[in-house]
Amino acid sequence: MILKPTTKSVKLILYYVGRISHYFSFLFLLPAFLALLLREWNPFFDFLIGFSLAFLMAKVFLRYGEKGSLKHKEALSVVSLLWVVAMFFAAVPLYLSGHYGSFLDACFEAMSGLATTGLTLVQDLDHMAYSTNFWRHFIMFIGGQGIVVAGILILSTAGGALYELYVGEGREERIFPNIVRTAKFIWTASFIYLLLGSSTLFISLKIAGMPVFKAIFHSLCLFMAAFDTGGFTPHSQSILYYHNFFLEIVTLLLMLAGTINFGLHYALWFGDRKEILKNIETKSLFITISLTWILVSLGLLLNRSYLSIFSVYRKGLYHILSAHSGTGYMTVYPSQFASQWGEVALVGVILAMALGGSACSTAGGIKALRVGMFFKTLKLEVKRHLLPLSAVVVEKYHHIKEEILKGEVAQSAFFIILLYLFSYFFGGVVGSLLGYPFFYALFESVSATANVGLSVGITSPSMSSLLKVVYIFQMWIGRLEFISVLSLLGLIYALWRGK
Amino acid sequence: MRRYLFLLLFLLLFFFSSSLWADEVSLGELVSNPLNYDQKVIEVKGEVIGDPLRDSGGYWVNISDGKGTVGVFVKEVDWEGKLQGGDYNRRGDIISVKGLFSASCVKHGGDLDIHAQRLIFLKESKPQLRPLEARKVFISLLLLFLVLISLFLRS
Repeated sequence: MILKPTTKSVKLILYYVGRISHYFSFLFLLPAFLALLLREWNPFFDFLIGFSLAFLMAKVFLRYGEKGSLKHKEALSVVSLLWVVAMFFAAVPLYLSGHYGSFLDACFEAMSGLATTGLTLVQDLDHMAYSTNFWRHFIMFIGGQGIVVAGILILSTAGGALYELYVGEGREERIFPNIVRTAKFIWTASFIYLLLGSSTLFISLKIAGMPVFKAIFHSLCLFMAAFDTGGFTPHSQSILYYHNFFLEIVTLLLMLAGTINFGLHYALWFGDRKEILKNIETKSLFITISLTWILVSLGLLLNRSYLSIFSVYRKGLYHILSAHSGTGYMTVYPSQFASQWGEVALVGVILAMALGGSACSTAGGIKALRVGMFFKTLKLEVKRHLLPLSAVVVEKYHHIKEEILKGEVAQSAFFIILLYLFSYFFGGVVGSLLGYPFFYALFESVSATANVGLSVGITSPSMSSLLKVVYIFQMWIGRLEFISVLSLLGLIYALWRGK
Repeated sequence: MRRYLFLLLFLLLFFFSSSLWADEVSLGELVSNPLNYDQKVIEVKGEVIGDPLRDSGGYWVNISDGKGTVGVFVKEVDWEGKLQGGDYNRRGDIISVKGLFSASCVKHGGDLDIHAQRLIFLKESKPQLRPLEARKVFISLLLLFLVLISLFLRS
């Protein structure tokens, strides 16, 4: 028998969604201020409408919600519902800008931004208002750092549920025992990288002759999308717009920094440099990046995609890191993936996208920690079969500290890996049923679920609404790593059929 | 006889030499099927987008026809000054470019680009008028009024 959730539970969820949405609404004022500064009057009113709607809706949630202490399943539902609510609000100024074919397209863009995917349905991006373009990148920064991680800094009445909210957003690790300090560190580190990264990008753009204002704008947008492994760019050609090797290197380093666990950032900042050599995630990342890079390079060489060996390695490495980190920055056109790269190289890119970056980072995908655990478990099983039955076999791994691989941890990792694989396949089948070749549909599906943003050209304003909805769902479920979304869906089902 | 042979040779050169015969292609087509035009001299038309960006030995100009955007490399010696790019407030200069198209340019790290041989200025940049939409002003003021009421009710 399914138990119907109590009214108090529903009210609690509404209260916390309302509370965080209330603070989220004030984010609209930043691009509104930019629009005012640049005298972009129509976008200015678009943001005022967005702010007012978000503010009023948050008030409605708060009016019908009830304050209290959240339990685990309620906290998970808060997070997943909050992301849907945030998507609708964030889509309002995008839709009003006139650069999207429908409100669904604007919702797609908003979810892609918040989930740091980078797939886009924008039209005539090259003539978009600076403030609206800034908003696209800003929601990527907010979504990448975590709407809830931001909310945690503000919320103080959620009691023991702060950690549950934090976990619900696809993060499990505490850098500090105190979750508020952890959230503070994540934001502080991000702002320091923002200063360093955007200044370096600014210098490279200034050297190329870009005017000061535009160089500041581009460097901020590029930083937000690279460090938060998002992948939006201010212009329609992605990174190819800049034709700048130095900028490619800087974005490469930023993508790498974005894909590293914040716990590892902390260890490195405070002098524990050996951690990078011992950590299971960095080892796993290094191996999978190397292997997929070799595979892509082999594919490009066999296919004779590029005339020089330097181009093979340059294009290969950039797109492997872009795929692995979940950024989605491109220095080729989507059609070139399909026509010029060949299937072997694309298999390498699909694998890199599917595996993803580190846990507790802004990267998506299965994650290096789970990949590492998968192989550690395989090793453990092989050992068990080779050694006598009476032998006690233990497998250890190093992740910030020495840990013993426990059955339930491995089981949980396997479960999430299976869910990712199922989602990748599901999107591929839907795309295939809608008339796209399965291989390309799989590429796009993996890109959506793993929040990457690389595309072979399927994602476009003209694709079917069904596929847009499927990709929105995949981006949402992939960003929150399934459990929160499944918890919300379970709650909705229980409200409907529970007794 | 020799005269006719020269004439025949000239005509053959004219029709079959890629450097003389340039296909006019849309940028959308170029971006969608790059291999069909690889290492061919083509002619494209489009609006300059953003700012020309300096690179070693020349400048990059990105041009768009609404369906596709491609980078054009103009050698420093052929660079004749500023081009006005389009953005939110402006429609950029419209130019025609004849040049060598590469789906993966060896000189520029495998990038898809056009190396300009001739650049013709077709239409000057002009401001893009964006009249204020009264509907948006009305709705936003109405909603802001409701926000104020909600704040007042709370207090």
